[in-house]
Formats: sequence, structure tokens, C-alpha cells
Amino acid sequence: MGQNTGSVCNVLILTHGKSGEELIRSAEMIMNKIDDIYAFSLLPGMSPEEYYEMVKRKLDTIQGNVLVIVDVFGGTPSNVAALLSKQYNISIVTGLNLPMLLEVVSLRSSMAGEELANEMVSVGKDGCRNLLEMLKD
Amino acid sequence: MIGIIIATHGDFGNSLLKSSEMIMGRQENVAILGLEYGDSVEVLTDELKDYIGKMNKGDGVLVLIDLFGGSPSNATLMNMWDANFKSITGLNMPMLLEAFSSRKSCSLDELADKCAEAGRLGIRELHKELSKSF
Repeated sequence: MGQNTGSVCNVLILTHGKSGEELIRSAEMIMNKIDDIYAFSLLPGMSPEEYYEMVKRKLDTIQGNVLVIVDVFGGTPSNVAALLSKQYNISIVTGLNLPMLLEVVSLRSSMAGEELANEMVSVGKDGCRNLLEMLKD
Repeated sequence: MIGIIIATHGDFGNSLLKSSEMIMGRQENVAILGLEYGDSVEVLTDELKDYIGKMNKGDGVLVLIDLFGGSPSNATLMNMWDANFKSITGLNMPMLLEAFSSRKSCSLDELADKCAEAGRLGIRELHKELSKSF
């Protein structure tokens, strides 16, 4: 099973505004408190440089695998993640949603890196469905 | 204009709306339903019914939900006989941005399809794309 280091993969959530922090709270309404997950909220007035430094400082303290999930491809959070991926060995998934976040909690002790990122993409995409159409199947 | 309702556990919907408004500017005809601890599905069902009525300005309403199988999705299913709305699960930012940019120019069915598609297409492995482009 991939690169299991014996410890859980750390998760960094990078979003415009506080939606990442709030999504973690939503996930915690469904399951227990989630450890080793860190949200970085890009707030109005914050420069990309400040934001970059904030995330970088956290990455410097983490040993082991890191999965970064960002809200949307092509904004400051995703640009910052892309820049940091040149210096740190991180996997990055875009399009953060709740199915992804719930799944990462159960999978990250047995998966990391590419394998975990792949699974996040598949679970996240699978979660995007037409609710009423599903009932017809 | 198609009305948008965002129904989620907790305050995620509200903060995602604010985040999207950081990118697209202020949006009209949007309602937020956030389920808090202790809220019942029955109350949520009634609130949603009420909102669908209020948000429908003639073109229908799209209900965006965080997850299939939680209380927000159950409350939506309880309203399924109402023909004035469609609903997409797995809410993320690309989906919401698509909803805001296309809701004046297409039908409710088309918007539902576009949002599901945008949600899926927005989920990618960024590090893989980077290794392609550098």
C-alpha cells in the first residue's frame, strides 16, 4: 500500500476566505475531531507573499507526508501550493469538497502521496451528482 | 435568473459564498441553509421548501448540497415532488462559480448538468499538471 510511513499523512487545506476552516468543522459534525489537519484562509487584504510565508512556516514544521487540498485551480491558494511544490514533496488536489475531506480522514493512515491524491480525485468527482437523477437509476 | 440555495452541514455554505464573492463580486438571489447541532431534518425540510418558493423567480431553483446522504440531502429529497428545483451534491468552489456565471443564460436542467460537470472538472491533481508544464 504505497509509501506508508507509519504515521498519518498531514493535510493542509488552502482556500479563499474561511471556507476551509468551516468545511473542517462541517466534517467534524459528521465524524470525530480531525487531527493533523491545518486550514490556511486567504483573507481580504492579505498579500500572496504573506500567505505563502504562512503556509511555508507550517510545512517547515511537518515531517512526513503532506497532502495539500485547495479550493479552486488558478487562484492564489493554488498558485502558492504550486510554488511550494518546487521545494517540498507535496501532493496537491484542487476542488475541495466534503466527500473528499471525509474520505481523507479514513484513508490517510494507509495511503500517501500519489496514491492518496488519486483516491481524493476519484472520491471528490464521484460526489458531484444530480441528486434527483440518482433516484431514477 | 435561476435562484441558488446552498445547503450544508455547519457554516461551510455561507463561507464558500463569501469566498466566491471575493472572486466574482456580490451575488443576488442566493440563500444559505446551514445545519447546526440539534437541528432536525423536519425543520430543515420545511425551511428548504420555504426557500425554494421564495427563491423561484420563474426560472426555477438550483439546490447545491455538500454531501449525498446527510441531513441537507435528506431534507432535499423530502421536497423531491416539488418540480421547481434541481439539486447537485458534492458542492465545491468551481461548482458554485459555474452556478453564478451561467444561471442567467441557461435552463435549470442545463445549469444542473453544468454545475455537476464543473464540480468534477475542478477536481484535479495539480502536481501532475505542473510536472507536465515545466
